[in-house]
Amino acid sequence: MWTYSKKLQYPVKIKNPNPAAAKIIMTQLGGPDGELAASMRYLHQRYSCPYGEVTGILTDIGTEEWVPSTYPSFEQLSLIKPGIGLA
Amino acid sequence: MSEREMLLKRVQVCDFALMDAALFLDTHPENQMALDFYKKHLEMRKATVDAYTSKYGPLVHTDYDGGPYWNWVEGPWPWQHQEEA
Repeated sequence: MWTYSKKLQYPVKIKNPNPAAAKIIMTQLGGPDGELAASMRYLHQRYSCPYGEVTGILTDIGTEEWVPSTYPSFEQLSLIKPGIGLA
Repeated sequence: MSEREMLLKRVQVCDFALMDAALFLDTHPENQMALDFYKKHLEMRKATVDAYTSKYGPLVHTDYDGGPYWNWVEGPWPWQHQEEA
């Protein structure tokens, strides 16, 4: 079962809003070859994988790839007001 | 039911009770009865997880016992049917 912790994997602090960078990062997260899609592929492939240790690592990577999609700071990167992207 | 299954079931029961109590406590943070309920099941869970992991391996990878072998990816997976394992 999946659970979450009340801590970040890596701290993010946005100093300046940057819509161009935000566009790239949001695509990297949610786009067709983004981390969210990758995590879903890993988690589905694990079920048909014939090797135990690979099944294990697919489960772990599929879980980890999903984590950055929980970072609201990346969305705030494109907002006007600096300083609110404190993670 | 094997001892392993029995201990795992007890962890599941505790986790369910804790999750349910947590949802209630989210909106009733000062309810003493709910806090006592949570505490009781938390203690039961800790003891059961210790008993389980010392004998049957990790439930989360940070349950690693410090030994010479990484047994995290060993099956059966909890959602795997017995006949597939």
